[in-house]
Amino acid sequence: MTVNKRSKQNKAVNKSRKKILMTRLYVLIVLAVILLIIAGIGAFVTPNDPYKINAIMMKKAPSSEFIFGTDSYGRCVCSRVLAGAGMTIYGALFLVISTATVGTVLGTICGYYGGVVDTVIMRITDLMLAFPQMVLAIAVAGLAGGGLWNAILALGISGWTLYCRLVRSRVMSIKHESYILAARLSGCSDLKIIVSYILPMIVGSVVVNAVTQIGTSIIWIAGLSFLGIGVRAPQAEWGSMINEARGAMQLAPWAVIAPCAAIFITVTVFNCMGDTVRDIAD
Amino acid sequence: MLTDNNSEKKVFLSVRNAHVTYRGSEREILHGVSFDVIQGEILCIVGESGSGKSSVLRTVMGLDEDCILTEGSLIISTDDSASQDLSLMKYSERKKLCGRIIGHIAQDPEQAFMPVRSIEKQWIETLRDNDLYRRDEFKSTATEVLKKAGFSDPEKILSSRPYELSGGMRQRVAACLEFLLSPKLLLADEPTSALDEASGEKIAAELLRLKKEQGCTEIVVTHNLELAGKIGDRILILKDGDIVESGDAKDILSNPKQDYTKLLMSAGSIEIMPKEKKPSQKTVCMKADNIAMTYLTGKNKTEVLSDISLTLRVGEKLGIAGENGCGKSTLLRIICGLLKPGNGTIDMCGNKVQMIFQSPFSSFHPRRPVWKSLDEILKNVAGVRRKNERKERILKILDELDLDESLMYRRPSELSGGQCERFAIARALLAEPGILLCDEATAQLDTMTQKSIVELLNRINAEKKISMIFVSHNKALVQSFCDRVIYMRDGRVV
Repeated sequence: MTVNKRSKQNKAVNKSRKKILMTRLYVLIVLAVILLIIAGIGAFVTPNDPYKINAIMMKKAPSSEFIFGTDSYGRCVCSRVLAGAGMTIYGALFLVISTATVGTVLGTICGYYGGVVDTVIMRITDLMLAFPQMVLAIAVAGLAGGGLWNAILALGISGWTLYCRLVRSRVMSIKHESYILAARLSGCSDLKIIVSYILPMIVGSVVVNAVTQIGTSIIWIAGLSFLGIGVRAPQAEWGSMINEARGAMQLAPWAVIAPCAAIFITVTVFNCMGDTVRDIAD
Repeated sequence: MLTDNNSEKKVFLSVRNAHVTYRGSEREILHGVSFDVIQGEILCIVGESGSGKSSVLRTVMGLDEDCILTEGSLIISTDDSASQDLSLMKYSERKKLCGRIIGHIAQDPEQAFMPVRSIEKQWIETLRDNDLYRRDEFKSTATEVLKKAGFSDPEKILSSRPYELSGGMRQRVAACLEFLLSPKLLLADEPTSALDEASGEKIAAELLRLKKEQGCTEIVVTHNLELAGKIGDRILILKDGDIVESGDAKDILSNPKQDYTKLLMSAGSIEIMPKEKKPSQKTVCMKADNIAMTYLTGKNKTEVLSDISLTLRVGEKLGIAGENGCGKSTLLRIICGLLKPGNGTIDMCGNKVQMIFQSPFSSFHPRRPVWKSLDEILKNVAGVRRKNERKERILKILDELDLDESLMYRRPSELSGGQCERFAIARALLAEPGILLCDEATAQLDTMTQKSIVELLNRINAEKKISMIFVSHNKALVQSFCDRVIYMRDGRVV
């Protein structure tokens, strides 16, 4: 069968669009994996000791010995960026995975069973969403004291509500479908229906949202650290590094630029990945 | 501008040598189909299940990326622009045509709306997207179009969510939205299949009105030759992806030339045969007393069923007929335990009950092969623990229902309507039920497939002595198939 040239051209246009998106996704996945590897092993491959104070080398410009220069305490900025990557990135990943899991479980229960449980959980989400998330996180983190775990707890307290509402609405629409009713008549338990029938249909939406939230979570954790209620000095973390270095920004701008650039690159990679996954799903 | 060679009538859509296949499949669905649609006419495409009728509409719409036009052209010629080949346009450009230029009434009303948003909100959104929303005129226009479609309480329909409406009501609401949009080309895929006679006639009248008053060009896919004759200017008969016959609607119906067309016409008529008087069974297998059901929507209460009592005897086929929205499906769901009645009792007398749903495609998980559903019911309901034994029983039932083994590894979207319906029957039978509930089981099938399914259900009833409750809006079908018929209106038995 000879293929009409025009139809082939049209088919090629559609195919190339999908190919571009998939290529973009693969590149972003590779970049994300590189970032995750750096975050994992960064603390062990630093060129210098990230916590060693050196009074002679304070606020030194980038050189062969200190690739990103030194900060106000003479510490190697490059080493601190590498050491802090793990806390920032894995902290954000843990936050996203935990909030997505909690939100999905609660949203599924609300959507599937409804009734009093749904009412109570939805009123709790309304309560959580009444406060701007960052303001609530600052209050909770401030009360709980500093540290990465308290920052994750503070951000997670209202972070699950996004997934809960999303999953609830998807479950409510799916549970009325004929194949769910047929599954009930086939003797499937509620758990089986939720796990085998409903969750596979909604996991795509949850993953897309979660990937997009990684970048936002990195900024939030860094933001709390910047305010002094997340990870605190001398612990290497990008947000606290920016907070520490901003006082001497005119004298040692590299101490601010390096962690800022690290946040920018990481957030861009994960945000682009989330957008690409959404475009492919659409 | 395209013109028909034989007359001065303008050709609105010209399909030439269309070869269509689906992604992931090597089988060609349409084999070089060519036809013209004259501006302002209604072209009816008729054929049995799996003939490629819906694929024609999907190809013209161009929004289903799995439906691939491998060869051919689709030239559209509107008044506002020069002729364009739809097959050369990008996806985003084709999407822009949808709504004002090309409208679509989907076959499966369950898929037409988002289940948890009200009809009013979804209509407003669609009208806004097409720059047709006028706040001060919307309510009056919307209620008028719903009234013309046969709804007695349009305000209630607008405030309802799709899951609160029956299948037939959803189909009418989907059609009404297209009437509001008034596209230049309307593609209607089985617009009256799930509707009772009265509602179907109203929709048919609206399709005719759109053509006469607004000059809308329409392509209507249907298995109902009567509808095609009533509204169609021309008819195209499709079989296995090829055009068998085409021409003026009245000519084809009065004087069909091809044998296949004659076969379709004979399958379309259901004769009410005098039935052999069966010895009356005294053993009751199901008894329902004073069943009532009320839905709560916010502060509003809707009484869906009121004081329904019925009895089913062993081996009996009981028919329930009634208009869309009279509560037939709700009653069946209460009988099989999917819904709890607000009032009343049901005694199943120890019998297992299974149901065949209205849409065979929607009653299977869209991403899983159908054999998994059959396997599940054997494990959970029939209690068959051994995997090999389950496979043997599945193969046996497929053989009884004339289904090829290879079909069970396919997903529901890869099966035809008739095949999917047979798998739904197979799944129900594997549970060894004493009672089978058929909820509009043949509504979405073409006439030839309907006939084969009805014959199959008759055979099952005769051989396995399974009692049946058969629900349909098609009174003739219910009367010919069932031993006894009850009629429902507004939630009551009349």
